[in-house]
Amino acid sequence: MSASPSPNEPALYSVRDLHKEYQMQGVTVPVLRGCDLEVKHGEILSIIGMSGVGKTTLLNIMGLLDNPTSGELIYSSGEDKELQGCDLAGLKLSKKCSIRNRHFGFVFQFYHLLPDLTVIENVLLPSMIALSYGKYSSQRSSLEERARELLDRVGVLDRSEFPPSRLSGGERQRVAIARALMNNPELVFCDEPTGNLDTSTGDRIHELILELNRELGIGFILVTHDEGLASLASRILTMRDGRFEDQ
Amino acid sequence: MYQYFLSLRFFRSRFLTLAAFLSTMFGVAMLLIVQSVMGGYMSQLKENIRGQEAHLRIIGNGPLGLKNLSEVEDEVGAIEGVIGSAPFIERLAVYRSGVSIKPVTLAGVDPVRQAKVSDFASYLLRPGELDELLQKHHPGAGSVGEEALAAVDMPLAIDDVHSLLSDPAREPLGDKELKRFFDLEWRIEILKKHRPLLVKEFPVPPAGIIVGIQSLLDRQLMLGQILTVITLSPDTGREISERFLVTGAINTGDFQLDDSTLFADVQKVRNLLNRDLDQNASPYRYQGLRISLDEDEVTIQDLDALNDIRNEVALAIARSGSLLAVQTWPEIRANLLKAVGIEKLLVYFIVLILIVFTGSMILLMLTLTVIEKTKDVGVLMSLGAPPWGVTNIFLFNGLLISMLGTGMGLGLGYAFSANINEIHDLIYAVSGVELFPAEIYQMDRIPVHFSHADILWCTLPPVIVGLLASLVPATWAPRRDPIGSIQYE
Repeated sequence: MSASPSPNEPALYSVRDLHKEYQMQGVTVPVLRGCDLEVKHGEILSIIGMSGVGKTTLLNIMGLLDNPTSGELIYSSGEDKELQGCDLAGLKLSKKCSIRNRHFGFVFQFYHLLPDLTVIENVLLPSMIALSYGKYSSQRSSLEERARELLDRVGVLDRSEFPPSRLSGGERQRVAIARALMNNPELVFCDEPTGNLDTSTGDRIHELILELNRELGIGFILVTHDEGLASLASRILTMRDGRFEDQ
Repeated sequence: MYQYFLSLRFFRSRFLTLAAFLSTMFGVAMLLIVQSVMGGYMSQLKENIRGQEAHLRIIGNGPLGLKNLSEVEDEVGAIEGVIGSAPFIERLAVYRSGVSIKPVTLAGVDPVRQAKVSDFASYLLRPGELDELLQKHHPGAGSVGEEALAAVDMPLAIDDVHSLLSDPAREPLGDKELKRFFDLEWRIEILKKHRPLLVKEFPVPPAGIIVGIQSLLDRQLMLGQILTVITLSPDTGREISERFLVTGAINTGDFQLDDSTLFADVQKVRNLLNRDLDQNASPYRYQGLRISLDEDEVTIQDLDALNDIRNEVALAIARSGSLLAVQTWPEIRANLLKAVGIEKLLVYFIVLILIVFTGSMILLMLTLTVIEKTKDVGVLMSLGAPPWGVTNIFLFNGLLISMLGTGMGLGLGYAFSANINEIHDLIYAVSGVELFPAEIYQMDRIPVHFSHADILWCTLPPVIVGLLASLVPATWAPRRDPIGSIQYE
């Protein structure tokens, strides 16, 4: 089980009455129908449900990769004073990109490492996006040091100069987790992180997520069908027809 | 930071990138080669015209030429900037040599005065230089039969003439050397040396004539040969003829002029034209007057200053009561210069189509890259890259290809153009094909000239086309649902 947050602690991320509709050939298709959710600092939250209930859509909207039709995304960063009780849905695109880069991390089912880069370059990518050319150049050695530390922590340091194509599925997902952690995020969104791995490799990824949560206090939102992974969470929420079951 | 980094990675890892880069490079190289050769042709043409013609030319308006020469010379000589003048006659004629007849221009010049108003003294070959050239390139001379008529390697021979005359250490001929071509003593000496059998028949050899080096090298004419030049009387229109002795050779670099102009002493030509006059007709004088100006004040590019002095000269002549035409050197060959200018522009636009083609290569290459990298773009956006950051990756990629291709193309084009004559000679030596025949282009070597404007016009279009071609796929990249694509394998 994850490190349990205190019940009185203010929420890191509050989703309020979130709706999302798509227009398909002139027909309005509702995907999210008023979701409410609170995520505490350092919490692991699992979201489960049948395919097509809106789990990934919710994750994308919370991760600012998509815009809601209505609703609020209230974020209270522990590090950034500007982001105290701020509604992320109303922010400008550049600010959303910056938050995605500095406060959030993403882990996908299919790893999505860039094949033209080596393992360590993939891990360094979030810091390249965050920093200007001058700043990156001046901090390069310390950033590379941090990338190596992360690769060491996820157990693939010896693969740092390899291209992703020479890594196994489990190793690639470990690198993707290291990449998600590069800019010290407060919350990592994982969309079926073990969906493409065999059971034993998936178990090792579960252990890694748990370990990172305990040692670094990073929050995880896991969208999964994997019961083993879901059971790691301090809370498990089930989605049905575009909202959480208990709502 | 990531834009440049990823752009370079995408640049390195694709074969299509190399194809777009190479097509840009070769397109730009071709553009520069064409521009430099056409520019060189134009400059060489101007230099040739300027060297053959004086700055200004006054033409008599009657059939008997310029009547009041000394008055015109006095009026014009008083104008500031005028430093010399030379009377001349140019008549259409034919010469007969053995059984062959060839149309030519019979040019009557005062060699010493002509040398003061044009590059005449630099174009003439000294007798020693001429002998050496002919001995080298007429290996069968003195023998009989087929060997004596062995074909001359003309490009090689012309190359030798060119190197000889373009040697900066070579001094133009002095006044004495210039006069000598028409001297009686020299004519006797030439006849003795080259046609000893004719010495008895011509104890006083005919007047001397200078011919183009081309006709001596390819054996149309020989030193010491006696030609009959036939023209029409300016007064009666009847046929008149005179014998001349070939005493020297000239190379102006203008093939037409070198191949079909005979230079004789202006007084001899005058005498010839006065041979068949009606009883009451005034004698023929000169066709016109060439005038040279101070080169410090009127450079080859400064056409405004040249036109100003032309107007002053025309005004001075009008004051003296004559109605004469005054032409500047570009006006004498205006049609040719205009035609070459238009040709240069046309060729530029035709080659520019190649650049548009290279743009479409960049467009195609980047579009395929964008399609292939959609997932990568999605990952970048999930990591916080804004849409304009993604656009910049592909924009920089396209610009990198067009700028590197342009830079390398300029280098390649420069190297090719700078060595174009050596490349031409190599092709000629290997295949025997002459790509720049002197008789067509009227120049013995391929001229090359690099101007800043030409380099700019070779640089801007590919870079602009590259930028425009990159804009479409680059702005498309973040709009084709990259986030959606990362949900699936």
